[in-house]
This record gives sequence, C-alpha cells and structure tokens, in this order.
Amino acid sequence: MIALYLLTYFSILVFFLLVISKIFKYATAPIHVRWELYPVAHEPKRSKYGGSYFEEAEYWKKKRQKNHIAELWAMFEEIIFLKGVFLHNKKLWVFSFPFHFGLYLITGVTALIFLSAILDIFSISSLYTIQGGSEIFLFSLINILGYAGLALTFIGTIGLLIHRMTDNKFKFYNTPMEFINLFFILILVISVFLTLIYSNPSFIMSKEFVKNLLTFNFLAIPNTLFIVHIILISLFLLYFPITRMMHLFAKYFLYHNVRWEDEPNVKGGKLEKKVKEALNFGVSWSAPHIQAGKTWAEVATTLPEKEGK
Amino acid sequence: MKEDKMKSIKDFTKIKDQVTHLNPAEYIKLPFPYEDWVDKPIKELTDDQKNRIEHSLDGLSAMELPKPETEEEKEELVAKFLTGLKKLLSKEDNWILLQPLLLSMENCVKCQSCSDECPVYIASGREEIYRPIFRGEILRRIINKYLKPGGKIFNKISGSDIDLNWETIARLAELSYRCTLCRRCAQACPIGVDNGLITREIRKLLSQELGLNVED
Repeated sequence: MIALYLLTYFSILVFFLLVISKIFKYATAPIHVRWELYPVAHEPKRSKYGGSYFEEAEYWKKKRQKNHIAELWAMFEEIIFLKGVFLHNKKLWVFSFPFHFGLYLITGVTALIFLSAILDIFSISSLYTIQGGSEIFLFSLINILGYAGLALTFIGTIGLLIHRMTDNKFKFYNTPMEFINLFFILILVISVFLTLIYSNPSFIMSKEFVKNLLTFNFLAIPNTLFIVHIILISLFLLYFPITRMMHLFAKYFLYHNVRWEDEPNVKGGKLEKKVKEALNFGVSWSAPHIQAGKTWAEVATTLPEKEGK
Repeated sequence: MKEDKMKSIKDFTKIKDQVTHLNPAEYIKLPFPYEDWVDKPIKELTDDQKNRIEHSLDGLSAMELPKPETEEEKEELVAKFLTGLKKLLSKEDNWILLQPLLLSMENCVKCQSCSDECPVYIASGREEIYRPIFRGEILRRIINKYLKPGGKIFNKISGSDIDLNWETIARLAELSYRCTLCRRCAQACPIGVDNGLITREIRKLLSQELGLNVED
C-alpha cells in the first residue's frame, strides 16, 4: 500500500517541478520587442476603438495610467466564459465551455477536500460529522460542486471528442495526443463517478486519503476501485505537464507578457537596461547581410561589408 | 476545399508535383459592386520557369527560389534550414521575438478559431494550405521531430510525423508569403497564439540563415 502513497507523492512532486520549470522558462525568456496588437485591456481611455497612449503628445513624460479593473474583467470573461472561443468559434464553445468550467469546479473541489482534510487534522472541525452550519456548508459545497463539475466535464469531453472526430476542419491537425488528452480526462471522470457510487460517497474516502497523505499515515485502502482511481490521477499528474494542456499556465504569459505588454521603453528605465543587455548578445546568423560574429548593437550600427563600401 | 492530393499533413512533404492547383471559380464572391467580377486565370509559369524555379506549392512563385541541381545541394539546404531553426529558438540569435515565438509554438491547441478570420484562407475558397495554423503546424512538427530529444522516436504519438526534405522547405518558404501578416488570426486566438508572428519568423529564418527572401 505504501507504493500507492509513494506514487502519489512522486506524481505531485513531478507535476509541480515540471509546471514550475515551464513557468520559469517563459518568465525568464529574454526581453522581446513589441509587435503591437490592439486593443489592450488595461488601456484606460482608448481601449474600445483599439487606441493607446501613443496618441498622447510626449506620453513618456506623463505618468502611466492603467485600468486594472478593465484588465481583470477581460481576464474573468476569458478564463471563466472563454469569450474568445464564443466570439470566433461558437460550435466549439458549446462543448469547450462546459468542459473547462467543469474542470475549474473539479479543481476547486480538490482544493476544498484538501481544506477539509486540514481542518480535520487540526481538529478545527469534523467535516462529515455534521455539527454546525460551517460543516454543513463545506460538506454541501464539495458535493454540489463536485457532481456539477464532473457532469459538465463529462458532457464537454464527449462533445469535444465527437466534434474533433467529425468536423473536417480538424482532420489534418488531429494527433493521437489530442485524443489521448480527452480520453484520459474522460476515463478519470468516469472513475470518479464509479468511486462515488460504489466506495467513496460524498468524497469521504478522498478526504481520508488526503489526510493520510498530509500526515504520512499510510493506511491501507480497502477498495480496489479507489486504488485504481488514485493511480489514474497520479498518472494524469505526470502526463499533464508534457502536453498542450499546459496552455492553462502559458496563457497568462501570452496575454500579460506579449499581447497586453505595452510598457514604454523610456530613457533610464528597466526596459532600456534589458534591451541594452540583449543588444550585447552575439549574432551567428549565416546570411551575409546579418554579419555573424558581431553583437546585435554592432549589427544595428554598421553596414554589411558589401553595402558599406 | 481541395483535398484530392493532400490526405494528411505528411503529404505536404511527399507530393511529387504541385500540392494544390488554385481555381478562381472557388474564390469567394466579392460584395457589391463587384458581384460579377471574374478573376482572370492565374498566368502559368513558362516551361523554362518551371524547370528553374520552385513552384510546387500552388504553381506560383513569390520568392523565385532556384531549384537545387543535385541531391547534395538539397541536403546542404536542409541542413542549413535546421541550423537556422536552432538559431531561431536561441536566446542570443533571436531574443527579439523568442518569448512570443516559443509561447505560440508550444501552446496552439488547434481549435481553429482563427481560420474564419483569415482573409487569404477565406478568399481562396478555404484552401487548406492557407489556413492560418498550417505553416505553424509544419514548423512545429519539424522542431518536435528534428530538434527535440526523442523526437524521431515519439513523433508519431506526439503528432509530429513529418519528413524534412528540400521540397518541404521550399513549399514552407513560399507559404510564408501567402500571408499578409494582418494578424487577424492572432486577434481571434483565445489563447493568444500569434500565427502571423510564426509566419514572420519563418521568413526571418529563411532570410537570415539561407539568404532567401522576396525582392522588394
């Protein structure tokens, strides 16, 4: 039985290591030049028509203003309702929305199960011994959100699988991995449903397992179905970071470091310092007009030999 | 949409003659006052031009790429392309757009939300090779198979089953000039992937490593 616990620890550890390393890779990428694409969500005055602070005379002398509420609202619409998919791909949105929303609920329920296990460990409350209002609330929340999340994810996954298999526009781009991702999630959802029916009513066994994990108490699990379910979750945690499902994290950088990144490069600023560093990188491109062997700063300030003559 | 020859992305690298034949009758109808407008058939390249210039994408040539004369020459160009690709993904040689390029290459889920926004794809009568994600998908598969560790072993399961040869590079090069870089695709992408940027980066690789570009 200890092997099951070790597998779970291992998969959680690897999951976090891989996710953190990917985030680190994106976060520490060198400064890049900006290729503008408007509107930018936090632009305070001109977002509606795709304008920007560049319209202001001597903008670099003025204090930058950002509409953080507008940016948060744009993030909320995009993350929760998948606004972009709704606007540009309604047929997909019909399944993509329940799929993603269901997964958010399942993630939330997982966090609540951890919370209830921690409360139990510290004897703050006993979640499943209904004693008071807060326990009933948490107990109900886990169950309502859990079942809703599983149902939505199930419907969304089936829909996405059928959509991918039948719509011609995916024909050239479907790969085994696309289907493995969806089938894996479908099998996971079914396994949770089965454990809820046969051995894990109201997620009680889940909470006990988390408690054991947190207290290093490797108690035997007297149910094969639940063991299979834990193995599947562990394998999924190992699999997730090597797939395109990592767009969950990458999307932050795609919006905040690229699409909405509009910090001006002003003299003496942080950006200028980073650009200066990057200009000292060596160039090794082979085409003669690029001038291999020089730094980017030299390339930018000198002509290639032929042209210079 | 023509699918007579290309049954999978891999066919893009295998088809011996031309990947697709454009037919003005399939282009979208123009709005008022041009409803009755009929495009003249595209002038075919002469036999001499066909012998000298790469045109196996769609029968057209934007770059006037000369055909390599020997197999050795082809292999050398393929090797140069791969060297350039490594530089495109390196901090020193491509800090200028590395972060957005990596993010776009690694996170496209191929949802096709961008397709209906692309004027070239739509106006061509939905020609598959002009789909905004097509170029990026070719490049992604080449990177995954030829540059990533284990790529040649796991390419089938990871969906990177592609053969890199001179014809693939020549077609990808031409394809990078079947895009106006308007970036409507990037604007439509729910994840923030920029296929316009990927196209631009393909042009950069060809120009900065192989010295191949379009004359102004």
